[in-house]
Amino acid sequence: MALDGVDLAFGPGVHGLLGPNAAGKTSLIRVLATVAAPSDGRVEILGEDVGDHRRRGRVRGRLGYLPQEFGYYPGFTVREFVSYVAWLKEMPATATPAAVERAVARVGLTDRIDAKIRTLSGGMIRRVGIAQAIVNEPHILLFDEPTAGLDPEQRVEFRALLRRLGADATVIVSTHLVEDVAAACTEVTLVDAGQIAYRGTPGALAALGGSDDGSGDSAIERGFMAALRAHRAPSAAREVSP
Amino acid sequence: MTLTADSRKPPERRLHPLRAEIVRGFAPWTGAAVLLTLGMLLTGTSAQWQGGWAETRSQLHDSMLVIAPLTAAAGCLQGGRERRRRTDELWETAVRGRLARFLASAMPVALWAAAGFTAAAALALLATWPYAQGDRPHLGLLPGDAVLLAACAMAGHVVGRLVAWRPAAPALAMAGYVGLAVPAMASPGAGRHLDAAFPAPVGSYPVWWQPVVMAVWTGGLASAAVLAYAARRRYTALVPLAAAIAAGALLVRTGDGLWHDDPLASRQVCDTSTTPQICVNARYEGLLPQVREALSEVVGRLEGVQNLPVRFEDRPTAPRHGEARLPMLAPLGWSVVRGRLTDPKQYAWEAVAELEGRGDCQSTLDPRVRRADDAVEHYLAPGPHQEYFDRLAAEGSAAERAELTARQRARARLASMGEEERRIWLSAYFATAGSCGARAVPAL
Amino acid sequence: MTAIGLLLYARSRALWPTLAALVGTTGFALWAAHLMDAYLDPSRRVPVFALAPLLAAAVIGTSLYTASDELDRTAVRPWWPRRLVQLLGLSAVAAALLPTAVLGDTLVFGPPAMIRNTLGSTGVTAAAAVLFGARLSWLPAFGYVSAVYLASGGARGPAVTVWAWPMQPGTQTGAWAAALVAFAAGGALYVARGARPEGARA
Repeated sequence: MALDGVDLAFGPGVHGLLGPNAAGKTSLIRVLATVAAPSDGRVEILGEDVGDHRRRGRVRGRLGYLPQEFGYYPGFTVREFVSYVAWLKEMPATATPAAVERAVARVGLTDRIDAKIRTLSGGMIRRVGIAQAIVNEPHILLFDEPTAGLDPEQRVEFRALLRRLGADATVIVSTHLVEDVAAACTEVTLVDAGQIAYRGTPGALAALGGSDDGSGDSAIERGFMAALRAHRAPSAAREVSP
Repeated sequence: MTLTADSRKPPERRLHPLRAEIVRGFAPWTGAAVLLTLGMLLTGTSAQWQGGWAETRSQLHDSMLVIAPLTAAAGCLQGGRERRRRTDELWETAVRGRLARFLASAMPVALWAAAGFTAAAALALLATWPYAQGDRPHLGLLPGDAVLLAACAMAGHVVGRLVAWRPAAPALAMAGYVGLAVPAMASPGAGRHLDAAFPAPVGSYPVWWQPVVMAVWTGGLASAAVLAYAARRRYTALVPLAAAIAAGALLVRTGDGLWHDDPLASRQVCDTSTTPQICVNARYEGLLPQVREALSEVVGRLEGVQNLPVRFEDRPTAPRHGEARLPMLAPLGWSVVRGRLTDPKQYAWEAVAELEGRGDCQSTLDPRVRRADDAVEHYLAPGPHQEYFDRLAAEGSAAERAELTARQRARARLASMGEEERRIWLSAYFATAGSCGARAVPAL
Repeated sequence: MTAIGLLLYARSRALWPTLAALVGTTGFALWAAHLMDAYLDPSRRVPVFALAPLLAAAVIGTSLYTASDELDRTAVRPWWPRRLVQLLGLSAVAAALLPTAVLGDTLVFGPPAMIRNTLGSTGVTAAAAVLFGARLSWLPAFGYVSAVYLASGGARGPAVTVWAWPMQPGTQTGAWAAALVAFAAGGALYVARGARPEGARA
């Protein structure tokens, strides 16, 4: 079982999903992306219960997802691939070309828009993935390890993009890179072994580390380790901030 | 290279999102492969179908035995694409349902395969047209075959999605070969009417609704597989399945009544100006001038001779009494290639052999009869093969050389006769045509 | 290489599944030969002689796939001897197994014809693996042999024994020459270049 008794609500803003590997972050993202169905409980996205397939379809039209292993067709150009995703999202045909160009411009690939994806570097391919996620101007964006393969400069710019996107959409970023979370997210959820270990702002998480001279090279890393330790200690009292 | 908003304008393009699926990737290669394989096949066998519309139709249809399993394998390769490219997770979040996505990736291969086949068929028909000698183009089986190819591609795509095994595609092709060829090769049973790639014999034609029902049978099965895999309401697969079963039952029930012989093949076109008259099957009526030309010397030298058959006939049945069979023009590729007789002298000699009518008893003939036959052949239709056998005999044993001398003497005797004497001799000779006994053959 | 290293190498090349598939192909050939009433008329077995070696060549072709081409290139010793051994070994196994399905008639269509067809099909498949990758390597051989199967029925002419080599009885030297040339050329190409790597960069 990947997730155990998770009860969460997300509003607008950029939310970070943090946690060790195999914590259940990807499972949670997949459930939110309506790719996987929960075995128990309800999932409500944008006010619709996604158990019913018709509502699920409507919700998916307002959703953008970038999976951890981003698969693509190497023979397609960037424009063709993003247009194909737009078609899959049932965007109106007249609006598609402009939306494609806008999405590609937002990730900075305009000069490669007609290049075949197989000619692009790893970081550019990930940007294509981001472009296909935002092509339909979604209300909910789900990114699973989006900064994998980006160099530090690109990571900085990606965080700026996240902040812009989070202004009017709900962005959920799952990552194990703590600095990404610190810089871009308005809220952090720590997941460990299928359970919620901590929920709060990045600042509060960093404060948890406090003067503790434990492991971690930065304040937020120390806070991360402290929260994990606190969650794993069975007798310690846990405080979950709203 | 920045991630921030780019103010430059990208080049203008207004193309449909699905254009890439149709134009790029594996699908056009499938069409090219079908065209190439068929092209190779047709070019290699061109002597056997060029010039005959019925032969062209049969060759195109028979090649389905090979093209259909390969198309299924191509569909299988395309079906594994989502697994190989690892896009299946991402496509789960698409709004368009599984069926729409399935069709978006499966239809291009099916359409390109059918297009490749149609292009090859058009080229074959164009290649036959200049050399056609009669009959008319037979296009009835082509749409059914195109539907078969599309159905194989779709069914192969379903297999490719389901089976993650590497050699799945060649194994599917092999299964296709076996499945389509077994009814054709093993003992005939009811199954051969269901076999969409069953070879169509040159002289027979299906009833008009057979291709339609066959298309419903193959297309129904493939649609049922597609719906069972990709549709959300899986029970909708029952509808095409029921249609397919009904079509199959109809095919099996009608059985041999599905095919009937070409009425044109039992008719013939005759030239009544000669004795014997020369008749050519109506399917190759354009060959009549060439045949008459080839037999002109024979007929000319038989002027005034009695006891000849009334005509050379060219029907599928055995010759009636008083007729001789015209040397075979069909199947193409032997005597007739691309609308021309390959060897008129050989053809004339075969006609004389038919007049003699002793084809059944060649091995038991008396030497005297054999010499008489040889002399008649030499007089009426001399040819290069006689010189070849003469040369062989000249280098052979003493008995063979003696026989050669006797033959040459008989030939000289016949050639040196006067006109009237030879006519009488030939009339007496042809009175014995068809009988193997030596008694009545006149002496030389 | 130690014994364990050799075993791991064999597993990395998917040796056991390939051998199992070759045995399966022999079973298929046996079944097909039986189906064609082989004992009555040897010439009715011609499809078996064409198809069973094709399937064996396809199995060998897909086994030429390497999942970790980049890592393989970091090996200390060159790869071509290993590729040679793999190709020759699998071809030998196939050439030894398949004729057991058609024992009986030896002269016209018997084990020699089966061995020849196996070698020729494997050669074409190996060359195709270099050009198109292991996944598609079986296609050219399938296309060619099946086209020849349908086309050689009424074909005449001096070159028929060469280009229609899968359909010839075991005694034709032209067919043997064609098949051996295909095996040597395709095998040499594969040993020298290796299969084309699959994946996004291909």
